[in-house]
Amino acid sequence: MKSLLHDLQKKQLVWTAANLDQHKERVATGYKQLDDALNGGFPQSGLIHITSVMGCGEMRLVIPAIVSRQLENRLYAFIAPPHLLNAEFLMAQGIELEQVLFIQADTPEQVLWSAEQCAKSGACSAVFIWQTKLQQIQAKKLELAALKGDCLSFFFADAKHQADNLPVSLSLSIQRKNSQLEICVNKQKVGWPIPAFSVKVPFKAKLGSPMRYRLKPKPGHNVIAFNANN
Amino acid sequence: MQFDTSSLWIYLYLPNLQLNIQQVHGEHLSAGDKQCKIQEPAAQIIYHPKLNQVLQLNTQAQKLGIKKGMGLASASIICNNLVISEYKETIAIQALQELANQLYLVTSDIVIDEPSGLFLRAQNMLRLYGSLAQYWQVIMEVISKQSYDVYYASAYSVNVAKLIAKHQQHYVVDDKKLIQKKLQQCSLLLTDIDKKDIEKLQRIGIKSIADLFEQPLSAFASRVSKFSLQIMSELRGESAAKLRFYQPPQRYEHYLELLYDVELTARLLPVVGKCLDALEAYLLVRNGLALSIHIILFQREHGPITQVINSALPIYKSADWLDIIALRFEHLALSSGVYGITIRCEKIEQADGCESDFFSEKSTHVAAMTLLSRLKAKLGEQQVKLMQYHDDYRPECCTQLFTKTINKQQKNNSLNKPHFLDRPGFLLRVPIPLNTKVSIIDGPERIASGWWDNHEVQRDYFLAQSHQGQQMWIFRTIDDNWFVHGYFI
Repeated sequence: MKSLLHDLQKKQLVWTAANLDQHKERVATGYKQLDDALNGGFPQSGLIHITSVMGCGEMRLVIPAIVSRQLENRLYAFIAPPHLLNAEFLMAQGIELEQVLFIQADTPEQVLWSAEQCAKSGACSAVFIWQTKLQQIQAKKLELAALKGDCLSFFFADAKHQADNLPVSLSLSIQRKNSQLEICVNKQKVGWPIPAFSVKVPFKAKLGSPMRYRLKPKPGHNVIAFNANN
Repeated sequence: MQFDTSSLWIYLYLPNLQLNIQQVHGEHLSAGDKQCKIQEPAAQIIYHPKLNQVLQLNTQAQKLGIKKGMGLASASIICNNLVISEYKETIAIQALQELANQLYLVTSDIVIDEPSGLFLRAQNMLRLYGSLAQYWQVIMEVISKQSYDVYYASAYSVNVAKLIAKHQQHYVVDDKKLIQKKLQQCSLLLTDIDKKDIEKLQRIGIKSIADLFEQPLSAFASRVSKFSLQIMSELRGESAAKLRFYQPPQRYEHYLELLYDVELTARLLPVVGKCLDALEAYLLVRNGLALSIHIILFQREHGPITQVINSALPIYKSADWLDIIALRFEHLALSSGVYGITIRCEKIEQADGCESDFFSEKSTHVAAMTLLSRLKAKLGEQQVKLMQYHDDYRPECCTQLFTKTINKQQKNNSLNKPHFLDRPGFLLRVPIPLNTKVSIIDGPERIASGWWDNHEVQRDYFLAQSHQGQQMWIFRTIDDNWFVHGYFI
């Protein structure tokens, strides 16, 4: 029996509370209830599995954390998103576009290969993939790659297809109830699963208040400053 | 460039370049074919059709009695199974350039004397190598790698060295008296002086080099052309020759013929690795890096495949290159066996000695560039993109994707703040008709723009939420049709 446990530990399939020290540093999410539920925030690195309907605010939930974690101009890799990514949205969220890497891939294999390469390269601080289903071994690979490259990988999936036994650092399911998000922690490395609780993920500003950021008009290329003597 | 008459020059005379090259090729071919080995090598000549002269001939042809300068008719009467090849100057010049390239690693000043010689300026190398003998030993090591017929001579004047070497000598000394003595024995006919002028000189009794030296130069001034006079004064050591030194090209090209045909790309990789090792050595010596290399695979029964391999970061190490190339080769299909590989590097980047801090940002930059190269090699150049914001009110025009890395000026451009804070994260490529029941949270916001560039848009946008909790960006057109344009992720 003991040897079986030993084997499992060697394969990194068992997590013991003795490893708790590794998880002391967390990335604050910016949402108080979520931080409380996750012992302080997202893990520093690893694969995070988010189950939700597309378009309920799942990205807005995680972006504050990855922006606050951003150091030394590492890249954000968006791999084969289901629709066009909107640059305006990313900028409004505080992401600098020079750090966005947009990867198109034709097959799921290519998506997973790219995700693994990005995660373990050490050049990316966050990797986002959208897949209907991951196998255990694929998830394990991505998790190890993310740990190696000190990267947070996000795997967005539709609720219907994915079984919830993947070896990930954190697994959340999100559902929108009117103006609140109902978050359920299915699995986390440093704690117990937590039943649904509500978090408010607001819009950045009320729609219809344009030019909020436009403090002063920028001179166009056809406008020459009066004293320009060059 | 002009030089004083006191520096030591060496002239390498390679009269039979084309013949030598063809012989080497022939040996390679017969090495594969055992039956040919038993046969005696045939008499071979290089023939210039316009001059109607035999220019180069091998020992077999010499034994039969063929001589240089013979016409084709007389040569073929002497021997009925003569192998004749047409003289091509380009072959010899290319070989000379290759030789100069190899010599450039051990000696600095090289002049190519087309079509059959090389000048080496030995004087400034003597201090480096210690003595002429040691210098010459190093040079000979390089030359002997090629199996060319080579004659050489040294002298304190360019033309004297050339003249002595043309007498098929192997003569390298730095004693002025010995050189002078050797020069006296030379024939006037092999100098570069115009044939007409030599005839004129012979008429006035100048039949050897010694005669030339007895008279003052001014005595000939009115009799021969300016060109010949210049050469004569150079021979006498009274003026220096004008030469242009060889500059090696800033590109690398190497062809490797495989010993047997390779049909699997996996088998090709170790061979490519060998070629890359050579490239690495080449770049290392020159303190250079490469951004892009061309690999040309010559297939036995189909056309050659050219692969351009790019790296986002200039690198030279063969292991790094092989890493990228292996990814590219994964989806490369060979139609037939590959018999040869060419590796070409068009432009060599200068490696600047940057002192990289172990903990600084550079490490992520290198990692990012390596990642980009890997992704582009595997997925294709077009699949990996960077994003830029374009100042436009139409949502579908805001996002621009491009493959090249941006320069600084454009970077500042993308620092623009967006106009609106709440825009959907996902935009649909083509808006789809709205066919679910939604409740409107906010709106409307009218966007009417683009009448100036034939992409006119007038829409009222609303922020809506469906029963499942999807927050959508929907719009109403002028004719009251509803569409979904994006999702708030």
